[in-house]
Amino acid sequence: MPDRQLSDAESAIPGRPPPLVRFASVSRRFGPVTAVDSVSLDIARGEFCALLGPSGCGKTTLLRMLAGFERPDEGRVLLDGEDITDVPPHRRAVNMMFQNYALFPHLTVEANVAFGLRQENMPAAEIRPRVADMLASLRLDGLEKRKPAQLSGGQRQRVALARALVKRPKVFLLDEPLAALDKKLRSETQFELRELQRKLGMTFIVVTHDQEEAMSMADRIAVMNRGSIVQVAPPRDVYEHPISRWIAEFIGEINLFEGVIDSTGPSGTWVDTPAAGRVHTPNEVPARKGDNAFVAVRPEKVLLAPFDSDPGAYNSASGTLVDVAYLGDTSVCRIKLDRGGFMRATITNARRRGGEPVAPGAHVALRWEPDSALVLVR
Amino acid sequence: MTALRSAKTRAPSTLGRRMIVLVPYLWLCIFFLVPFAIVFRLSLSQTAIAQPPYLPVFDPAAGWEGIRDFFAALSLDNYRILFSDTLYVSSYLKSLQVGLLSTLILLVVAFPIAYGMARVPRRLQPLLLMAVILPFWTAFLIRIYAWINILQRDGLLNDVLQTFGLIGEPVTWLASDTAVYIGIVYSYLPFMVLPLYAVLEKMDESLLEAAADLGCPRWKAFWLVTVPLALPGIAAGSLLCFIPIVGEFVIPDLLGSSQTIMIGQTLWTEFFGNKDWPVASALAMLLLCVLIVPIVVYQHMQSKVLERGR
Ligand SMILES: Nc1ncnc2c1ncn2[C@@H]1O[C@H](COP(=O)(O)OP(=O)(O)O)[C@@H](O)[C@H]1O
Ligand SMILES: [Mg+2]
Repeated sequence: MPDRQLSDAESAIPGRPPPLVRFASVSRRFGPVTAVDSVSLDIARGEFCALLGPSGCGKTTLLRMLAGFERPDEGRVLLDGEDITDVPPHRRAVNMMFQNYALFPHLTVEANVAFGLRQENMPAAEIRPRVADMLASLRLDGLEKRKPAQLSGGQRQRVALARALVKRPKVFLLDEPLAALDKKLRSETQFELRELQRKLGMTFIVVTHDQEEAMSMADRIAVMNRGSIVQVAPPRDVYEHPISRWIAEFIGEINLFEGVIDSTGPSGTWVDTPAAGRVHTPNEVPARKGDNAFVAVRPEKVLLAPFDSDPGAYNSASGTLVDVAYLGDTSVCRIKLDRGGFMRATITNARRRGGEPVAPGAHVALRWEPDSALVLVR
Repeated sequence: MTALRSAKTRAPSTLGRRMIVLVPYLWLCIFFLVPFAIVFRLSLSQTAIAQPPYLPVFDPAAGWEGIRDFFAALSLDNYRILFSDTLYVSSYLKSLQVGLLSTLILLVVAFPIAYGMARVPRRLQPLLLMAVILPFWTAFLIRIYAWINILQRDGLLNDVLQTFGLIGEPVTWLASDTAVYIGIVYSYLPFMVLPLYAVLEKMDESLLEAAADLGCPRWKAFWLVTVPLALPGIAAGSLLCFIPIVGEFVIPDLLGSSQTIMIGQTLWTEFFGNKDWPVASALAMLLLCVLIVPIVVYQHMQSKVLERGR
């Protein structure tokens, strides 16, 4: 198949290995709904990439375009440098784990896992040991003769994994792989998937709406909203340096204060906010004096201090503690600010005894380092 | 303690449950077992010009002696007659042939219909379902008479075929096996479409995507995934059609030729034409034996499916 000529902007950046998967401005519309809106994304060989976004933002549709079940209305999909946009799903070297697992109910575990290898016309003598190895490595030995209906949810999930992985795909796609598991099994499986991916050195793309899942497993997260990718970054950057207000609010908890830019430059940015006063952050933002902006600070970066202590170089606000939610490892404090609005602060419960360090009703000061706050202009 | 109490409270409900279970058994007894016994007894009797037209007649007034005479007079002669005359054997074979071939044709015709129905947007499905059931609103006999009209020499079918130049001379459709097959396939189509639709509609479309994902082309996925999952519907539909088709009387009588006679027609002739109730009963008993085979096979399959479900 002849490759489509790629423009300079689209071709690989020199010095970097060419991407294994490339979505080049793909769009997919369903009637009036634009499920995927001109998305471009490169995924490197051996990478564990997560597509993270709220329900209905087009993650599954994007994944299905790579698997071949949806044809993009615009744009191309490339795998290993080859344009696969028009290749039917059964001839693509990718495998998918479906959200409902889609195990064949009439086949045994063994036959389910062997199904894909049989399609390659592999001799039975070769299929048997490969299936047995796969089942053993996923702790499914002993269940070979069971039907999917006779398995637990966790076992079914592992059969679905085995069925796709035994094909040794170039890219392994997982659509909400943990959504059907209970909480405890889910967190165990997160680590198992991560370990499996490292061991196999395979490229994984996982779709999830659960940020914890994405953060704990992925090397890189592509955050999606309304059919577009809004940020692609490692988990830490997505959390600590969200590039827009929407992302900041979508990932984790965050305190936001509306304000007006006073000055911005290499020495940092000053924002005047009605609720938290004048706030300083060290980063420069693409905005001018007088522009509207938001100051964002994560609750765990806010410190509670005695009301009359000296703020020093810290940003500061004051308010009344309204309530404290005890969560075990941490407690979340909600503070009504003196100048309007609310703020959350998380405190770690490092000691077993002694009760809450502050009681509701107390007048407290809130402090956060300039480096902890972000100015968001979008 | 709690077990004791719950056992106590359950006691009356088990009685109630037993009563409920009794109802279908009673029904079966009255409407199946008793008629079955009567027909079986008739098949062991001899024909007679009398009222009723068979012997022996059970006479309770004759007492113990009468019962002994009655049983002594019963014999298997009628069954011997059935196997000695090729007329009976050939009409059995003809019925089986028609039953098997029409069931096969029905499967081939009904599968795409049911598949299409299960795949159209959900809001259109009740409409199509209605269309399948709609013919039942007209009397069966009238619909068969309509087919006589269509199939006769100057009927609609020949008209259409001649208009399109597909045939020169009118073809004789009526009074042939073809007409019987057309009539049967037409009449039984809903009984094949509905069970197939029921299983195909429940089938998860993502299974076909999974098959494609694993490297299986569409046509192959049909045989490896769709057909095995539709098997319960295929079995139910085939049984639902095969059994009544084998005993079919009206369609071959109205559309078929007098050369090929199905078992239903033979039965009818023996019963109403020759007034030979005992031979007719023996025919009916043998027919039942033939039809029990697929039913038992189906039962066996069903219990296996139930096991798998657990
Ligand atoms: N086959 C389809 N027909 C019509 N609309 C669809 C179809 N698939 C997806 N959509 C729509 O496209 C949007 C994105 O869907 P999806 O990719 O499944 O989102 P996500 O996986 O992020 O929850 C949704 O609004 C959904 O309703
Ligand atoms: Mg989805």
